[in-house]
Amino acid sequence: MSTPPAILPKDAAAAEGKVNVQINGKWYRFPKGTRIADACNSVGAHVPCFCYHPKLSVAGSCRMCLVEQGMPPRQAPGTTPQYGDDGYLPISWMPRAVIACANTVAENMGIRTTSKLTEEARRGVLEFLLSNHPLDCPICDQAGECKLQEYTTDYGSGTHRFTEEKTKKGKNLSIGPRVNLDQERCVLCRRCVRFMKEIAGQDVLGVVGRGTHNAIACYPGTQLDSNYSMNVVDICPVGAMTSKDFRFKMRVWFLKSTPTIDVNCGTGTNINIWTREQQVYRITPRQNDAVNSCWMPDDHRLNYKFINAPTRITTPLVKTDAGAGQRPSTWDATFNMVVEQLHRMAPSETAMICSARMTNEELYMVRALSKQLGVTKLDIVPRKGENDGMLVSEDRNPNTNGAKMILGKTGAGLANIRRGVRNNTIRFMIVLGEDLTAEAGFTAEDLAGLEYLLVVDHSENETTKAADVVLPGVTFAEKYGTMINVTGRIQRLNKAIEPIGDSMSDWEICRNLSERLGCDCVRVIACPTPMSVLDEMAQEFEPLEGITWGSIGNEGKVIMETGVTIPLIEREKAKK
Amino acid sequence: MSDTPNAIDAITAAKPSPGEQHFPKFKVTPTLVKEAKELVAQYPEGKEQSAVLPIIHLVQEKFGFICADAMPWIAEMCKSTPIHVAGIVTFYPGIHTMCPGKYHFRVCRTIACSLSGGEELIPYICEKIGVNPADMSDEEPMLVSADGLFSVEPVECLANCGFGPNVMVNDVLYSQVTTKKIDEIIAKYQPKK
Repeated sequence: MSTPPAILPKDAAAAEGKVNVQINGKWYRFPKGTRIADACNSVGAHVPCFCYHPKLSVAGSCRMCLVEQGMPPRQAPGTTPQYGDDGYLPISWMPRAVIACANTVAENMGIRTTSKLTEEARRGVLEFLLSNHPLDCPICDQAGECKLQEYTTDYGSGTHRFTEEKTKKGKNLSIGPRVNLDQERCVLCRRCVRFMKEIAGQDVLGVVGRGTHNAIACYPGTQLDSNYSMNVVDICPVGAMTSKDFRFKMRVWFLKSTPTIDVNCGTGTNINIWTREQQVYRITPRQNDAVNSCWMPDDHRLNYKFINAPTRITTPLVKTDAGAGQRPSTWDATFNMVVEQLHRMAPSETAMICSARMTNEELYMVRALSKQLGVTKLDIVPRKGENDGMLVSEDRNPNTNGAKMILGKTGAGLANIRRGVRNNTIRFMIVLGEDLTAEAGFTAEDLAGLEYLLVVDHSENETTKAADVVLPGVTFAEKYGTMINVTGRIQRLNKAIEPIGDSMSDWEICRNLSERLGCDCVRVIACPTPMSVLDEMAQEFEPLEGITWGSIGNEGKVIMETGVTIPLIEREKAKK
Repeated sequence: MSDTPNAIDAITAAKPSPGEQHFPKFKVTPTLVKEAKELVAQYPEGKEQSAVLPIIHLVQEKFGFICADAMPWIAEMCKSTPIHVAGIVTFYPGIHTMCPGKYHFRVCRTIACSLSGGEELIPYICEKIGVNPADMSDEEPMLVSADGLFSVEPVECLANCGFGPNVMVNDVLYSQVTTKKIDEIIAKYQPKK
């Protein structure tokens, strides 16, 4: 005679709004309505999926996630349930497998992800999926991160019995400016179709044909040209959708991915930078449900070419004689020269322009430098654009909130500086990370009229060309630091590659200059790393109280109220 | 570059057929729009896409087949996109992307009809209307006679298995069809000389 516990597990779980589920022999509790696939994955019982994507509607078409499922048999009328010692009803296993993505958990349900039935089901599904697959992994870009390849290795049979001729479909089809389609590699999961319809709102992809001739296509004359089109490359589980930019450039297993953030707008989309040695090969979105979900815009994704471009400035450049061109120099000599010059400059006739594309740590050091010099005319260049109603913020500077926090009011002083340059009350300028001739409204004549122009930047532009001294800074891929996005979330940048050539992080340049100028503030000159700069800032700025490099984590942390939201994230929240 | 269109362009590639002389060319007229709108109105708001199939049938009935110009128009009528209309058109074998003859023979080739003699009917009809059964392909199983009057197409089951072999000519179903009956049908539709 069994003695069930006084409080049955089902009642205990129901009190929490949860249900008890047995997965591979162990009992777990999940909230009602959890998908079987999510439940299994959350406890380490891996369920392979092609078509299921947590951010898209459920299609249930690939059948890869079949698992063995069981429930207690239905009670005959007039009988009482016989609970076991553990308080559960015995499970009757169903003779056929169910798909884990389209079914939700229920009380006293049993799931087996490693049973013979499940294994057979997976093997069968893979055999069918591979029956028309070209098996061209050696020339396929997806190899190494292909779900079909992984699952075949894990669950496939190793050999196949299909002796018929494979169906021929379209290959190397250009379906958009940035995406190529191979219909033969496709497993028809329709993730791309659903993404374009449900998330990108550009319903251009569909499935044509029937049976073995089924294929993804766009209508002749239409194109997959949305600014979010490359996300289909990320979510494609196989090599059907490939990025024109990344195709045939590098095998993915040679690449190192570094989690960091996008610096093209105020959203601060979470990304991974994929590098090999000193070369950046691609950028992919990194999931952060509070910032960018799983997506990112194409133009931000492709804006990395400047990192390894020949326009990078790799050594300090100095103009030794008036009228002569710039020539490369060493850091030490350049610093000495700059410091000598800075000492000569009257602070009232000097202006500094820095950038809201700089990290908090860099801006902090810029402020320290300005204090050391006694310069009060200091501002950033505001950069406004259109909000695309998805992820691209109207603020095209990634760290406006950081700049506001550290420098106080921003944007208003720029016109004054411009006026000062034109009426000759400002004769010296220090410019960091901005091309003044681009968005700041300066002309080449304005810059030529300056007595002394010191520029810190990573790439050649009209401003660096006009400069008396150029100090090579680094791009976002080469530095650690933090930025605060439009929603008030502080996020980390991680270094993916070492600074190119002799370039140096902007915060370090400013610190060294301050030190050489005679700054004796230990809080500035004793900082060895950006992390220690952050520690210093945490003591000064209220929003950063208690914030350390480690506490920010890869997901970031909300540190201030801004009232700004990200449209795509709001839509996603509303859907739930 | 080869002349064969790529897999995407093939979706709307024109398939010339002699049958076209017996059907009007697809044209959007106020009557057609009115009829399509009536079909769309049958469905609740927000579910306009449900009218895709009825409109496809409407177009096919009037113009014989769904041409490349018709698909974007159908999509526009039911707030869908051309690719989804193309998906439906290419899915159903009953929806033609090539113009059939004025009299279109659908010959059942499933097991019940084949056993009862249907297997011989396709070559027989082909011979009678002057087309080569070897020209039938998976991509385009329909064959049209040179005068565009007759066409033949194998189909899977006409839901009358007890009385095979079955042949459907346009909307009329003929059961227990023999070669003699085929002769009669063709003679009936053949214009008098």
